[in-house]
Amino acid sequence: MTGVVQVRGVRRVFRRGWGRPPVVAIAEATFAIGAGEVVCLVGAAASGKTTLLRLLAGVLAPTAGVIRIAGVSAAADVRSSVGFAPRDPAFPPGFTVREVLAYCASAHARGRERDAQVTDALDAAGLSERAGRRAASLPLADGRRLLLAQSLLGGRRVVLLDEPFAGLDAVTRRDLSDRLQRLVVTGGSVLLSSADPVGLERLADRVLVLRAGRLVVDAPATELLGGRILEVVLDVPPREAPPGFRVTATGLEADLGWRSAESALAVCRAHKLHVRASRVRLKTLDEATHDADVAAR
Amino acid sequence: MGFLRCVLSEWPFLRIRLLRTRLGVWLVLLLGVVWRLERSAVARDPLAAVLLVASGGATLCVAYLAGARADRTALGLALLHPRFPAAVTIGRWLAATSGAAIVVLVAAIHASVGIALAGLVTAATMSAWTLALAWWGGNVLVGAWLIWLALAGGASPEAVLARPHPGAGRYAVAWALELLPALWRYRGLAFGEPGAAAHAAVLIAFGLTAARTRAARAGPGQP
Repeated sequence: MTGVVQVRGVRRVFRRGWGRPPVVAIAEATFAIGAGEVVCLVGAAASGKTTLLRLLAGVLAPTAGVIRIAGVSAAADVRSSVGFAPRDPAFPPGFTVREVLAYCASAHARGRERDAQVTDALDAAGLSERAGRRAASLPLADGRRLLLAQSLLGGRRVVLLDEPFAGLDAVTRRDLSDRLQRLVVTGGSVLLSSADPVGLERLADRVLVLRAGRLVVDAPATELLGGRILEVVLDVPPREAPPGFRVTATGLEADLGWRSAESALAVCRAHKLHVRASRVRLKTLDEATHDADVAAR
Repeated sequence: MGFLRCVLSEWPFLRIRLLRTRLGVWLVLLLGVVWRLERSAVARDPLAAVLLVASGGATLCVAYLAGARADRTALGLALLHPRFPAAVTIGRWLAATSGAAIVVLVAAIHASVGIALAGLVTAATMSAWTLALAWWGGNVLVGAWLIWLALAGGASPEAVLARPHPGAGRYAVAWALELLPALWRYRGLAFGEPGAAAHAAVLIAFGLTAARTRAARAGPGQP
């Protein structure tokens, strides 16, 4: 197994008191992340995404298994090489954006080097114009930017982002995606979690799907997104779908696989369905992860 | 990162909170109230005034520097960077103690060196103890402690048990005054009593250890 981040056979169990059974947050996870790679960790709520990120950040220790970051065990202090942006922004009251970053950066450098790190992080996260604002009163989008900025301090090359796009508008999502892509161009590695994979297609190099604490899919995004789907709009909704089709709100849809669109439409005509319009599109990441998740059940 | 540098990086908390929150106003008000009380007292007691300022000032400083929910949540964020929980604890304690020390020195401006020293040690002890309360229970516990100080902080165990037939409640209060940081005990600091100094040292060590334990448990996003 090669990669900047190596995770092998990791398991994490939370013990609860008062005779209650332990909770298996991560049943088994094995994967690697290479340099310059953006990996999306996708899964439903409470599937173990945050726990896995916290394990990689060294905030939690695994119950079993090995995590290595740039060749160093996560059991040692990896905070100099791994940046972690938690989901919910929480900053010390009264501090400005620049002061929060200066406070965090003082753990990595001092003097002019610290100031340079702060300036770079502000630029990288798109916060330069808001450096003088109070951090605790930032809107959610800027709070997420500040979390991203602090995770980049100290020249850390592995960045873990917990739900960085949750609750953000499309413009901010796009802007943050672009900034993350710029980061990986320079050799950084990004692992981001998301309960909602919509819109991650243009960012993800690889997708990990976590289901009930178990890693069920580890595949390149191109492999997952390669599937074609035929959407068919009908005049009258069908009573039941022809073989290989699913009923949708406007008609039918089918995974084309190796079939041509014409042969699939011929099936519709054979069932005497009046096709008003049709189009072929690529699978979204949302659909691909859902399919993979269903297949793993 | 050096431990000392990590300690010093907590310093901005005092500067920012003094300048941008009501902490400065509260400290000035505290000074004013104690000065007024001391002036109106029949027998003036500068030592009691300085100790009162020290304990109240330290508690207020900790409440403003560490007790807020957002501050406790942000502790997890700070520890995502290569910092030592012990250094963060000591740094925040020193910052709170320094804030209290300013008002102690103002209150003790006409007093003897012994009284000023007693005030500083009391501020350090109260800061450590209150920091542990703040990081374990937030400003709810710090507020409760402030009320305790206002109601029973100036009493001694002997005075509490002086009435005939004291009940279990009085014994509990007397025990608390015996064990917890209390002004009656730290009066001895001004006269070089080793018992008072030892009590202060033990309470500082206990408070810092308890606060450090809580800080080490702080995860990102968890108060």
